[in-house]
Amino acid sequence: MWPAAAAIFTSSLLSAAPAPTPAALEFFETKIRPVLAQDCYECHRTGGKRKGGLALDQRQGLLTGGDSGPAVVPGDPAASLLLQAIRHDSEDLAMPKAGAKLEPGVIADFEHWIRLGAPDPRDTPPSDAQVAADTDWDAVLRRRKAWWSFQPIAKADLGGLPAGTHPIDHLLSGKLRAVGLTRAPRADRATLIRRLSFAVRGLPPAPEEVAAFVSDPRPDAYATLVDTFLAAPRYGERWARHWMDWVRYADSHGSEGDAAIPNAWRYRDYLIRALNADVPYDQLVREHLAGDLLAKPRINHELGLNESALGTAQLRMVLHGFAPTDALEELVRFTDDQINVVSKTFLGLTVSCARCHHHKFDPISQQDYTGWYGIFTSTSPAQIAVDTPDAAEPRVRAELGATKTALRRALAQVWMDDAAALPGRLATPSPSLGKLLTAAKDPGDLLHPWFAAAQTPSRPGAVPGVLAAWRSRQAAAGLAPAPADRKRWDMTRTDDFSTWRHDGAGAVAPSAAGEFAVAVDGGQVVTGIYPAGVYSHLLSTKDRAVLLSPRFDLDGKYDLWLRLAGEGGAFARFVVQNYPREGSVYPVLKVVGARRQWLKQTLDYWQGDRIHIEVTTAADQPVLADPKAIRSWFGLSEVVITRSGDAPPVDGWEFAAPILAAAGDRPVATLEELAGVYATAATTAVAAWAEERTSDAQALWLDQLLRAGLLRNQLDELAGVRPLVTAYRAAEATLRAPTRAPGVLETGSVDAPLFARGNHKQPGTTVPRHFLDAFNPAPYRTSDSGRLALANDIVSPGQPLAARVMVNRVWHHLFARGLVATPDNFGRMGALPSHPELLDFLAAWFVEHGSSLKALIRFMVTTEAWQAASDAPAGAQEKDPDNVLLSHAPVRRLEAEAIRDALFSVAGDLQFEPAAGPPVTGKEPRRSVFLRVKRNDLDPFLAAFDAPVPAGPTGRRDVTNVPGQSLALLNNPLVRELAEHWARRVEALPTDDATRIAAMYRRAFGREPTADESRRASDFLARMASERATAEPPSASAWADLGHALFNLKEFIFLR
Amino acid sequence: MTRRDMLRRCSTGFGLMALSGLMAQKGYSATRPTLPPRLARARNVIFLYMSGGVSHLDSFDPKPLLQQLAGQPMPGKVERTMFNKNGKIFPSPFEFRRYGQSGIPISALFPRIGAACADELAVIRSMTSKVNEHAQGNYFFHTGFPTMGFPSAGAWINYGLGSENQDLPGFVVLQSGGAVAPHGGVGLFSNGFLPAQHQASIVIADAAEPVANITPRERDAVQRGRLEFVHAADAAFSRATGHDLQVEAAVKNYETAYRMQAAVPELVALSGESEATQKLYGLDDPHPQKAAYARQCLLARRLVERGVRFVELSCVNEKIGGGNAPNPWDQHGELQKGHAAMAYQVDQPIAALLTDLRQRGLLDETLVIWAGEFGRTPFSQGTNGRDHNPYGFSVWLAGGGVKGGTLYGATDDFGYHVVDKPVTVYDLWATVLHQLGLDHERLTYLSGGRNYRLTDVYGNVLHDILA
Repeated sequence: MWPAAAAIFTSSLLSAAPAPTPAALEFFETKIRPVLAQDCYECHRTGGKRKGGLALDQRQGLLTGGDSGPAVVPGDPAASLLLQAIRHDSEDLAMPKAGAKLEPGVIADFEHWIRLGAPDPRDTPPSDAQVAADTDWDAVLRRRKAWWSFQPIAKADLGGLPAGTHPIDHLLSGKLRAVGLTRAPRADRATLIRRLSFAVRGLPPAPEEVAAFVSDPRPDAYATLVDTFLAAPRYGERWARHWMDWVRYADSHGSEGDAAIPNAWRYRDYLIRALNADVPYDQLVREHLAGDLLAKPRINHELGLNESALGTAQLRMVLHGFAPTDALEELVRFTDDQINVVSKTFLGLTVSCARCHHHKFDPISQQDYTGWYGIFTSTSPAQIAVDTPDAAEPRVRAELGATKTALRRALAQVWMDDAAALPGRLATPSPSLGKLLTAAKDPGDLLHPWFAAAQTPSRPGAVPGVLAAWRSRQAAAGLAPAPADRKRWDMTRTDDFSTWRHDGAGAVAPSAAGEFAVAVDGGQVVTGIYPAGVYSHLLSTKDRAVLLSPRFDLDGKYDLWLRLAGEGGAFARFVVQNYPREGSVYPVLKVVGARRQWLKQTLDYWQGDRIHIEVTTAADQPVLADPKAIRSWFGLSEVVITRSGDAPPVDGWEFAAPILAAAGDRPVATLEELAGVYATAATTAVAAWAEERTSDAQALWLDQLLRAGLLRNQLDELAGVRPLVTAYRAAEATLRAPTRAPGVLETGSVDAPLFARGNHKQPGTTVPRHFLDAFNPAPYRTSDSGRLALANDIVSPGQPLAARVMVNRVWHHLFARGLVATPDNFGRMGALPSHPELLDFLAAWFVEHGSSLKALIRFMVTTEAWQAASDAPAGAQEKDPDNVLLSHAPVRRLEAEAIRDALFSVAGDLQFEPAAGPPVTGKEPRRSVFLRVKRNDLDPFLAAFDAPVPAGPTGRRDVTNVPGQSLALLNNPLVRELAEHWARRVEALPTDDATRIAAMYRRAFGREPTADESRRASDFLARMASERATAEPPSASAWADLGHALFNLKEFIFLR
Repeated sequence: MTRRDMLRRCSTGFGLMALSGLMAQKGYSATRPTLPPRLARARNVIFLYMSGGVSHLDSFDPKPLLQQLAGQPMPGKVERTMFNKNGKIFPSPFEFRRYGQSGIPISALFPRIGAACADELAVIRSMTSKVNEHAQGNYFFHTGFPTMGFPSAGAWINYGLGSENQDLPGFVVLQSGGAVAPHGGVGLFSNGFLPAQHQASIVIADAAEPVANITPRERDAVQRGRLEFVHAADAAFSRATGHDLQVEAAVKNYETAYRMQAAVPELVALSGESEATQKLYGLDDPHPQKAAYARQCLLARRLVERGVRFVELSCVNEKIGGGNAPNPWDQHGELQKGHAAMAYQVDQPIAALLTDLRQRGLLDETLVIWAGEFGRTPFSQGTNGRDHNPYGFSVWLAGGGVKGGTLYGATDDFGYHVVDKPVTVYDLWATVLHQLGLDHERLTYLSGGRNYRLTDVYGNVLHDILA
């Protein structure tokens, strides 16, 4: 009864108050109700959780309040707990709990509404239907889209920009003035060049550079210096590492085994080149998502690279578990990894948070997530070719083809003679043939009749016996019921082959029986004559080939049969849910054998999963690839999937067919007669081969003759064909081996099902691939995955996030703190911009200036703000203790890589060449950007100084201060060694100690030592020398101690 | 000191974590979770990690039915296994006996733990994992997430409670006898997105240099001379930066590092431990792996005495039946021989640790956890091994307010799936945090736009196993 009584009480109370105006009610409906419904009802609803005894779904609930008293006192914002809670006045009562703080505008709305008297028409709690309408995703999306970062970029008001004032300084100065602060004066030149050198190049300035800049009288000395630094390759090495943080660069996949990502380093080199070439940012974004799909890729003629395609390697920097028994879960997880990186890095959005439900705070739906999931799963992990289009070298290929035709003609002539000479050679075999004849135990061997006859010389019937056995074997194969195929792909047929996807210059089409490959070195001419099928090496074993079957679901228990030949480490495997690694239940076939054979894999285990089949050359597996395998090949003629336990497809000893055909009905009683049959069969086959109408059986037969040495195949016995072979080999040698890099291959466009509550075992309705509902919900109707469409949407002119996010990233790295302090998150859980107008001005400026990163960096570092001294001006500590307003330059610790590079550089050990190539260990005197990033074994020195763990985007590194850092600089043997190297160089200077000391300070800190420092250093040297003199045994020099001490100074790792 | 000063200083090393008391004060809590006052039953955790997956069927979960059905095919649905070499039903080769007043059954693998400590143990026989593979299983068990990048439980606990020792890290991983990090690598002990001072320090108990770079490369006088020079110069630099807090903290950091150089060797040298104590643990054992593990156990007690919050121990490789250095319990073959060797290695040292802690009055405030990343299958792999089984396995807790002599939950008659009171990793850590006075739902950290917890969005405290 109590609630009813309360309701009556409420009505009577309200009737005393003036009725709210329509405008006030309108304010409630548009500004207040949606917030209450969407952000509060979940925990504070009548009949719901009613946490703290508070219900916010009706007027009386607000007025009565909960355990802490009334939530709202109409007309009195200051006394209203609700307002205190949403303003986070106290940490004990900060609402919404575990959520983002409400936007300042919303909080202001509440304040205004309470001042209005908290007009609220809700006499009774809303019905479920009402709540559903108020919290409907469309309603939520509408409200959330109002978040600042989703608004168009505002044009900055630069009215009143004083002449000669940098627009950035102008936009910063307003807030400084407002609190009564003035900017610190410009830093001295020595400080400035050190700051600039680390910011742009990640290295300390050389003493000569400092001297030149400090004494440069030109008015544009600084601008010139900026240009010089930006133009040198060291810039790309520095900023590539920033970029690598964003895309969680790694050289391995992590987990058990920590498998390497073959060729990952090519992506790092790509970044360095791209940044040094100042490729526009929007172009880089397109390349990172779909560089392989661009109509006009960026071509690097000097290196022969399709630069654009290299960008997609970032999609492959995912973590991969080891042999997961739930393969779909693994696919969901690593696709989530891709979505997480792409959305945070390029949009500052946490799309991954919408995997199991709509985003909790941002206008991102689970449908958005699923749309992206469809895009990224419409690809297959791969090693892709990143060669220039001209690497296809059609002229060389045409020449190779023509030479092969000529070679076939020439060989056929010789082989006709060999065929005719067969009886004689078999009757009086050469020693090598004799060996083969006596070893032909296998009834499937071409020469088996001679072996059989030799075993039973007393029985002349041995010969017809063998032929009869072959005949019945063949007949049986012919009669055997065809396997109950679940699926069969006949790779000799274009129809079947075209349902597969292929990549690379090899294995591009089925070839007819009788195709052959030419040996590229050694004494042989032909390496094999093949039955019909698809072969990767008909022109060159350098050619790469990737064959991917369509994906299909295993609805029962099956066996997979592949009729394959290959050498040099080619791979065949079935791929479960795109998982690219090898593991216990992820077997891989290494194709071994130039003669084709049936290879079997059991698929029982994977019942219920989606698989495809992948056959590749040795260097072309996504993860298992052997990057050093230059030459390999495979040939595939048939793929059959049978029900588990059904009869296997049989090898019908086809090679016997030509013999049996030649024998016809003639009785063959003796070996001599059999030899005659062989000659007939061989002559027929060679003739057919010459005319390119070989049958499979004839091809196999010829191949066997070739291997038995019954057809001549050695260069030294084929003088006539030698020029052709030489020409072929010369041309083949000019073919470039493909350059490979991690990437993805398109596998068609597949919209994905929405996973209910993120549970991949509960696929729901299919969601079209699309960008984001907040910007454009239109489905992608692309025939490809949609990666290019997504990239274009991300950098489309109307889309405000990409440019804002990127200028903020650059700002963060230059000013040590972003205008948005959370560079990876521009959503509601991120920070608000400290200078929104400036952020938008920069975003617009960036786009207007061709999205040039160099121009943007130049624009920022030429501000007075950036060049300011780091001394806080009067009043700054009190009025702006965190220096958000940038009244002075921040003091900052160097990043891990800059510290390591500075150690090597100052010691004189740092080597800039090669400025590319496979990764190295931390001991190498190379820049840190070239160090291997092995996920389970990260470089301990870099890790100590906060180099990121490559698990997700890191737009802002931690700057911690742990004893491991001090211990490393104190005791790490490498640091000591570098100090000793430095000492040796210093001691070799033909000068006095004071000058040596000064040289060391110049090198380490880019400045002269003070008189005091010089004296202290001198004293220190003396003390160390005497300490060292008494040590047993006498050890390193005091100069090394001084070098080591300078490494230990905070000035070495902190920038002013 | 302003709030900003506090914020900055708290990002410094654990050497300065004496500040933790201050930071719990109102007004400074933004950097630390706001925690309700709660009675903490435990102060420290010792995590005995049985890497590779110890078999519950051969240790703490006897299944007589397996004896009856030995050699028969496994009935019912068999889940996907890691190696898909599933054999027949494989009864335990180890006999079980009841121990203590509670009568908890323990197999012949762990006679000393049984005899000395059965009544201290709360055995959970209904543990589950989401993962069937080592590296992801290890990550899941340590961080609540199956991949790298998340804070380890030890890091969370240090973040929640701070360290009590100025010269030692609050989260220590012990290794000896060539032990290495489990599959997944040292990322298992990472601070993830938490501040770096919460990451584990790996202490190699029997190495010449037990902590990386801890050994000075020169005589103390030389190093001190260098540090004095550095200190003077740093003072000037600090002045020049207006006493920037990061710079000042980095200066102090050298003092901590210097002290650690002395503190760590003293600790590892086991100085002051009587011969009787060393013998109790098995440091004198002729089996080198056992002696090595005994050293870790004794060191764990010393660390706990010194206020180190979280100590994780690492089993030593016996190289049997699929067990390798990262996963020594992983007997895909030769289970009997391999588990016997592994158990011989750890049984006496663990029993000694529990006994010693009890005798010194430390067991009440030290929560000891014994667990592997999953159990093993009731059917064989090949003829004499067992494959991974995440669907039901056993772990135990002792000390720290745990109700000793408890059996909790159950697997089916085959020991294959949990049938009663399933327990997740989230529940386990929720319980551990609870005993430390931390609410697992409020121990959160904002990263990448999301408030993360050790227990993700799950976890229930297992009140039934608590005293």
